[in-house]
Amino acid sequence: MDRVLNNKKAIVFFLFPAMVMFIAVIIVPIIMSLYYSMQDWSGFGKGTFIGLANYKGLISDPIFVKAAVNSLILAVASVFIQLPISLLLALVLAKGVKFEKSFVTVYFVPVIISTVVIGQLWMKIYNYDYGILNLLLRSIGLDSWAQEWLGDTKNALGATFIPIIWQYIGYHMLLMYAGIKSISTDVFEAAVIDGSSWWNTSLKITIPMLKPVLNVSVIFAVTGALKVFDLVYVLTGGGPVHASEVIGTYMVSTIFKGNQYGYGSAMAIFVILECFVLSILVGFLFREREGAKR
Amino acid sequence: MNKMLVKRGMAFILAGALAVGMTACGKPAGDNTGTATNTNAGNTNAGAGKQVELKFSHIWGGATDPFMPAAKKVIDDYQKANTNVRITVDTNENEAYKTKIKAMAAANELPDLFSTWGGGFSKPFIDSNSVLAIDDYITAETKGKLVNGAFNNLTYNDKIYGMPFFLAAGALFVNTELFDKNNVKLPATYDELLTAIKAFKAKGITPMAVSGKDKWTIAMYFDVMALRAAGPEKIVKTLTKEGSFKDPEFLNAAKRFKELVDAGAFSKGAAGISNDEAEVPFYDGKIPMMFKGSWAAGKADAKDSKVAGKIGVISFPAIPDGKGNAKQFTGGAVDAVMVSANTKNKDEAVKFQMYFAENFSKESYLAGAAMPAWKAEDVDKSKLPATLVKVVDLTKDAEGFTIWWDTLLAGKDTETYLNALQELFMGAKTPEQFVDSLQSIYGK
Repeated sequence: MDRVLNNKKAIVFFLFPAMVMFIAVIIVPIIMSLYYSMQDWSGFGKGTFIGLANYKGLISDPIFVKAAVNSLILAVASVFIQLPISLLLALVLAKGVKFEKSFVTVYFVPVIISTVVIGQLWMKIYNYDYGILNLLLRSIGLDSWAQEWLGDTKNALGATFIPIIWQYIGYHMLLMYAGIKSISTDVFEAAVIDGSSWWNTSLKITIPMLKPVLNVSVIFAVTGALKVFDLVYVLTGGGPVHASEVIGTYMVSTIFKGNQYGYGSAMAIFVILECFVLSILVGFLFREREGAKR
Repeated sequence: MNKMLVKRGMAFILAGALAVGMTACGKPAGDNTGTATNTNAGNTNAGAGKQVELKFSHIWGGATDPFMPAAKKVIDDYQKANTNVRITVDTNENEAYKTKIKAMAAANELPDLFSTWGGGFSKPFIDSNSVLAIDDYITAETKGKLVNGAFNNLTYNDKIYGMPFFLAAGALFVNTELFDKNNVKLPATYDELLTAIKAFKAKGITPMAVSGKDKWTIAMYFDVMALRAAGPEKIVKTLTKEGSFKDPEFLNAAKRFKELVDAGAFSKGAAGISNDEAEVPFYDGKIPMMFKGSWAAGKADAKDSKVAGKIGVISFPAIPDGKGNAKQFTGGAVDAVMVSANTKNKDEAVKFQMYFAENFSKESYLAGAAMPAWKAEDVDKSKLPATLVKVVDLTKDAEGFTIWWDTLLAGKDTETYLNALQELFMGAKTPEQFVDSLQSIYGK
């Protein structure tokens, strides 16, 4: 087996089909988007080449800047709100509680439910007249707190982000849970023998040993936030008045409602670059930490 | 080293997933609904002609869609009469279809026939030569069967590109029972409308149904108010960029609209709900007024309707200092079926196009689902649903129809208009700022 894998020809032979697929469905579309992004193109007929004008337009487009900022806010919220919750859940569950497996399943359920279903569910929760949130607030006497959640420019962004963050808590929890479970039990046994409390063990042993998983989780959370589209589209469509606009929704309305394929493609390229740069940055930060520790 | 690889791989996979997500709209989904019936293999009818398959994408496939049975019947009938033609139908949900058909046009993969909308929506298709001009196929006889101006929204550069079947007219649907119960007078003037709004509001009833999320429903109200303020000629002229939104008529319309909003005409939760949700209280008999296209009549007359027999139809009243009057309507013939320029069977496709348009128009009217764009004098009105007949009667002596703004304007301009209108609706823009935004359609 080793001989086969050391054979360069064999490597090429086995990787070739995957590489063709990879280039055809991933690299080529990116290059095409790059090409479209430099055109003034309505999506029909021929476009005209305009160089970087679309990118200049992005910077001076207040809606795009707002959408980009909103996406970044979601990225920050994902890392600093969603992941800590996931981590805590994973730590508690991995410690061994009653019905451990069923808890894991329950927390994972939102991940497998269709986004549209979740969107509809939360729309009902947020409904001004009969939504459970407002009903709850009214029933405990907080009438003034009951308000228009998705329809008000003040609340829309937060109200949209909560379901997004909530939905993927289970996903990250599962990653971390599996990560913790894969840590050798010898380590924990040794810690117990040394008299380390659970909290201390978690902080000093589990989390540091979980770093590779955390690294992946952070990258997923950040890139997922930057290209978020589905739930925002279902809940508010980016509105009202662009209050909850993210790059994904703005791109779709620009391309398919505004017929500006070139401009929309520039946004797509922007997101790709943004994700790429931030992934590398996250990886770099994690490596720095590791280096410093040693 | 391994970790590096993992990281790099991860980055690539992420970028890849992203790219796939962005390009996934490119291909039409193959959700063909199999309404096509295979022709009998043993059929030896003379002149059956060569076998032809026509692909037809449309939007009347939903189980509760009032047009679904009519569309199915017309297509089935045609296939029975023309055994050499097999029609493969692909049905879609309305909003998703708008995106899909654009993507198909962009990829040069339009089906032989497709349902679409006249005015600005189809203009890019015409400009990219994706649609077959059908002037040569339209006889004087055909024209005579259609109502006047039926081709207005389907004519581009003096050529006709599509066949219309529905006539749509905007009207104010009112729940007469709610008006009677609360002792409110049906509004004949603008002042009476304001009074009615305030009266309902005072009783804790939301006066008018609208969805702030589906922006076109706000435009239903504003379009007609602008028509009342400026009159039809000025509207068309200004929207086709031969005038100015800075004229006082548009500011008047915007101010009146704001007046309705400020008077509490719309529900506080309107901005966050979709059209489907917004309509529910009206059809449940909880909201007394809704300005919508004539299609709303179909739902009011539906079998399980809670408001059947209670809905009246009136024209939106003239507004003070307005140049228009209550006999002018928003709407016209917009829905159409077009033939792709790339079809392999031009004659067969156009033949079916004509048949479909005429018979779909008639069947839909008979089903009480829409006003017909084809003259239908021989139809027995007594069997038709009451609300629809009311709309037809209301618009019988209409001075004219002015198309909805979001249909007449193209792509980007439509978005500019609808976004600005949403901002006016939400109070994020003053009427003055609103007309400034509209003027930006002219490119400053």
